[in-house]
Amino acid sequence: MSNEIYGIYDGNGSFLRIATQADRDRVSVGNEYLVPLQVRSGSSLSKAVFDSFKLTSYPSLNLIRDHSTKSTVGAFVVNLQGVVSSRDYTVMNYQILIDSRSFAEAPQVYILTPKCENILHENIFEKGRYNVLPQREICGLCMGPGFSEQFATYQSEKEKLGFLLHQIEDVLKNPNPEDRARNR
Amino acid sequence: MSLREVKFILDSNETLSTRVLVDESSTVYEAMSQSGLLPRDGSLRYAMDKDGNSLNHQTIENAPDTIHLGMLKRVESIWGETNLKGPFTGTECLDGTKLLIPGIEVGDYINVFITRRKQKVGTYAYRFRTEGEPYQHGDLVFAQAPRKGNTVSLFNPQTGQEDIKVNYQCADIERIRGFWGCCEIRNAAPSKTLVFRPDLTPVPKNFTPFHLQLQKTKINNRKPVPCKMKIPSVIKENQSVFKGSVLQPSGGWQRALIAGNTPKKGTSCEGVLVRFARKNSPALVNRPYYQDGHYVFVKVPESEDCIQLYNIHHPNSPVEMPYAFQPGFSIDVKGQWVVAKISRNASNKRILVVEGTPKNHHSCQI
Repeated sequence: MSNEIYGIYDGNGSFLRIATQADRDRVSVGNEYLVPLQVRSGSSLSKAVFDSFKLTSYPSLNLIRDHSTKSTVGAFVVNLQGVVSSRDYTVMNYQILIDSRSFAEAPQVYILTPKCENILHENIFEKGRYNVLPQREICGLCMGPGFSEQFATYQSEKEKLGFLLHQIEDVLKNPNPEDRARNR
Repeated sequence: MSLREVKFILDSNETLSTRVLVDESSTVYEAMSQSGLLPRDGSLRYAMDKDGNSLNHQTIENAPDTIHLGMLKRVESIWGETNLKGPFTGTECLDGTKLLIPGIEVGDYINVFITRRKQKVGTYAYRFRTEGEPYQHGDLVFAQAPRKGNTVSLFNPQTGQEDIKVNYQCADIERIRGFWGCCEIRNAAPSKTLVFRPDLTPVPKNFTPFHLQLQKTKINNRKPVPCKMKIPSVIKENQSVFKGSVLQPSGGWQRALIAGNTPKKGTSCEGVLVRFARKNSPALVNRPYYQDGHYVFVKVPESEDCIQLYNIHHPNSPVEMPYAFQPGFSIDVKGQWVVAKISRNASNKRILVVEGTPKNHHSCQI
């Protein structure tokens, strides 16, 4: 917090001046408010990290242009292998959509194909509409308890993306029959 | 079981490599699979030698010490991205190449073989499968009508070469010889057939079939043009390729590689300009009067068994020679300029033995 620059604003939100150390130390007075000048927002996954995974272990990674820029990837798809369900361990391909618009937090993961009607996997939710791809009904994937907390412990994007893809693969290959995602 | 240590290098990032001890009798693909070197998403990956030839089905025993991991030069794994005119779906490779693939949907993740057919809109490619039969009944491919005969070769994902021979079926094949278009795979016992689909890729009214184009070029056969050879002070034994320059038909001299005899006197001579100079490569010139043991520059035909060379005595009837590849030479060079040696076969007939490309052949490193 000490490195952030603060400003002094009035009650109408108008900027008055840059806060000095004295302003920051004293309790707010009258109609003046101490506010940080910039608030960092959640950022997308960097393209460089995305490309490094595409060129090594996951060639099927493909960014969604509508959500991406030259240097960031806001959403992407990947093909991963899993099994049909806990009662049928036949290997099959799932096409996954990952919402990485705010990659600092654990991203939401969806199944693009197969269609909801053809899914038997216990960890995949029934179809719904989500703002990452509103024109289509897709199924969310239950990533398991503790996933978000574990994701947050990784510092670099490389570690986060590696963990995420590994976790998706793990869930798809090891369905949890106790999961109520599909059978609610 | 004897083990051998091999080094695998990732082509896309050569700083990533690993050494593994593997059973000599297993194939390279099995070794990759057992060592966790295949992509984790199930995508296709090839093991290749330094020249980019597929080693997937080679045994470790016969494989080189260093194996490159990546994709063959003309193979890509792509996502269908945009609906284009007709049966084509478009996509863009990592290097920016635009591909047009018939018979796939937007959102499909598939493996494609990139053909030599390139137009302004992009390069044409067709889908192949890696599980089961590479081509199934009803699949669409983009292929060239055979210039001769009625078979075409499709890409074989196992060998990494175009060696799946299929019959080409078209009601009027003579009219479309050499035409690139969409064809449908039909399962017709005992083999597969490729049926031309004019409804998807109509033949333009002004299209000239290959054999008529050939007649035209035969009539206008290139005449020898003036060249200047740089003759080294010491000529190596059997040297038949020299540096020099050639007078372009439009005027001006271009640097050239000249194959053939040195002139008896001076540096000026005549040769047939077979390929114009390009940005990064010189023009290629063949001097007439072909001798056994000499090299010539030739373009490997797409389907014919013979290569035509200029005939100084009868310019309208070229010298035809069959060709073969030097043992161990397995780069796909169809349609490319190569360096071939004039040799004799078992029945003492002349044959051209393809040894390399002007970029890599030792005779051109002068």
